[in-house]
Amino acid sequence: MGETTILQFAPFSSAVDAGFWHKFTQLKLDVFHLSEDAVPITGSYVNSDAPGLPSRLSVEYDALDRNRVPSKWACSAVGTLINTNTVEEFRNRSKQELLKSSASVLWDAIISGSALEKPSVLASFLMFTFADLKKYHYYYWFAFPAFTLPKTIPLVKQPQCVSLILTDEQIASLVLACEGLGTDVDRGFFTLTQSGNEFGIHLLKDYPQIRTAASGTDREVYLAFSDPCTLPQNPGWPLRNLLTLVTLKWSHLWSVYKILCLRIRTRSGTKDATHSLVVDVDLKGVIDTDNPPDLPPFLGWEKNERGKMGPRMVNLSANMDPIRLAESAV
Amino acid sequence: GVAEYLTPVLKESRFKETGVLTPEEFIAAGDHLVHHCPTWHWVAADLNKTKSYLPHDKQFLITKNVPCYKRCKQMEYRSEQELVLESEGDPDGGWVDTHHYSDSAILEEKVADMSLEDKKASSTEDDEDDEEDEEDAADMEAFEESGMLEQDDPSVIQTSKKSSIALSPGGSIGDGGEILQTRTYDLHITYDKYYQTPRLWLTGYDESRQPLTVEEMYEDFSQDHANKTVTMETHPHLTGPPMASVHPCRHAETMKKICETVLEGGGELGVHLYLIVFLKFVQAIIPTIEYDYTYTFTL
Repeated sequence: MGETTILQFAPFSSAVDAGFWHKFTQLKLDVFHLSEDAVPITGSYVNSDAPGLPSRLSVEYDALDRNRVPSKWACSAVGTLINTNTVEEFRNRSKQELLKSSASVLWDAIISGSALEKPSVLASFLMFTFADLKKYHYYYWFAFPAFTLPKTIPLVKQPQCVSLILTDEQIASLVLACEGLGTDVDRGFFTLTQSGNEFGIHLLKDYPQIRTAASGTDREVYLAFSDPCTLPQNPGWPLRNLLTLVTLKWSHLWSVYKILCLRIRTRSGTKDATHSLVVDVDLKGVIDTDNPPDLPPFLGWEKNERGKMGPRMVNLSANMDPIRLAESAV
Repeated sequence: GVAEYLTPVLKESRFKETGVLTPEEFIAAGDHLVHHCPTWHWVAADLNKTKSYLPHDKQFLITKNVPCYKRCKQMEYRSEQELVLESEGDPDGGWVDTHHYSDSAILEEKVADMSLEDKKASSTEDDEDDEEDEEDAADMEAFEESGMLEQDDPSVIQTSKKSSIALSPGGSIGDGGEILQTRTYDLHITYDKYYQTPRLWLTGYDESRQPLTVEEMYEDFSQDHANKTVTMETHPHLTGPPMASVHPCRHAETMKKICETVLEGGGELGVHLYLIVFLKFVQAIIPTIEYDYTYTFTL
């Protein structure tokens, strides 16, 4: 049945709020002017979407607002916006170089360990744009940088639905423990412990000491992350950079890792996590941890709606052009 | 508008008599909704769009990325879809399954009809911007690049995409391990100071995440309501282009009727349930948008 023995990730799908382009237009005219400097932008993703929906990375209307309050239910993604002034520049700029600068920042965060302090950088993204403000046409291309390090990740066994591993009572207790995410413990990436029916959430960076302390006890320790993917067999993109980090930092200590891909959906007013996944990976010998490369091969440009490597365009003249708005207003 | 500006904020509860809400009651009902349907969240307003009669972090409610798998006309009731269910020891036998055949031949036929229609519609519609559109399509392909590392990465899943219309009979949505191509909606509920009721706002996106035009969104409103109760207006808390909204002029009246029905039945409808009841009756207007309103309550 052609079963894969390597882990395959579902890439992010960009989802730009219609209101974002309105805000972006205002800022372009009033603040950015002709500057093509990189601008910080905040994205978000959730692990609660309906089955079958794409793993969505959202850029909301307030994504460029420096004073934006991080939402209490979504995970933050650290982004960079680069806007070009002409369509030629948008077309001709080296996509490899653009992605390289984002990948380098991410790589530095992984090597230095700052990604352990602030795990949301593991879900970083680049948004490359050109705005034809006269026509209300916006060209954009997202990249979600990741490394082919390790090149492939061997699975100990096929990803399993959590309901095959935990009892209903345990899953309910897991949901309850995860209510605490987003305050002291980062919602995106964390350490999860299980002892019988009790679950605990801890900082990602505390994983080694927790796992060491748990050895020889009945305590199970998971690497955990909020999984935007809704597919029954695959985890979402954030796990990819988490595993690069784990490979570099901890694979000399342990080779096998249990990962909980946390998905929580609300149905009929009840929170349900029975469709979360458990993934067991073996990172033994996938890289030489003593000699990490200066910058491993990187990738992450999003395919367009035709499945090709290319940007997307949104035409908002029907929603934003004052003349067309006046025509449709009755 | 000016009328809204001049309308004083409702201070005393008149919910039972007229079906309207004070801002405090709106907040209480919103808190209840968020607690029982956590897909809904309170959010703050845009700069300068904060209304002083609502707490700054509870200006309006939002739920995002709600799937909308089919258009309203695919939902319309057709008698040839009926099957009287035979009962085998079932006391409730004799129920009519009104959409029994809808997943099979009839749906396929409709889909075929629809694509023809759509083709026709688009070819006539596009006449005026034909030139511009063709130019765009060509441009976008010219932007595509080859030889990038992303193209043969073994660790990325090659997602097969599936149109939501082509569901196999009896197959449940989204369990097939495939990414569905479907429309989604973001829904907002604001407090309308003039009508003193909640008000529903919608932004729709198509299968490839392009914002829907008003005309396209009308396909997701029941035909009794599109063009009449759904209008494009300025959002009270967001700067930006107009957004589709269900006009609130009948909400209080509907709510009052529901209240009376409950009273006649010997019950009482608490004002905290307002938004849950509101979402149920709004569902008649947007029957195919699958937001969570299913929290059950006893009247």
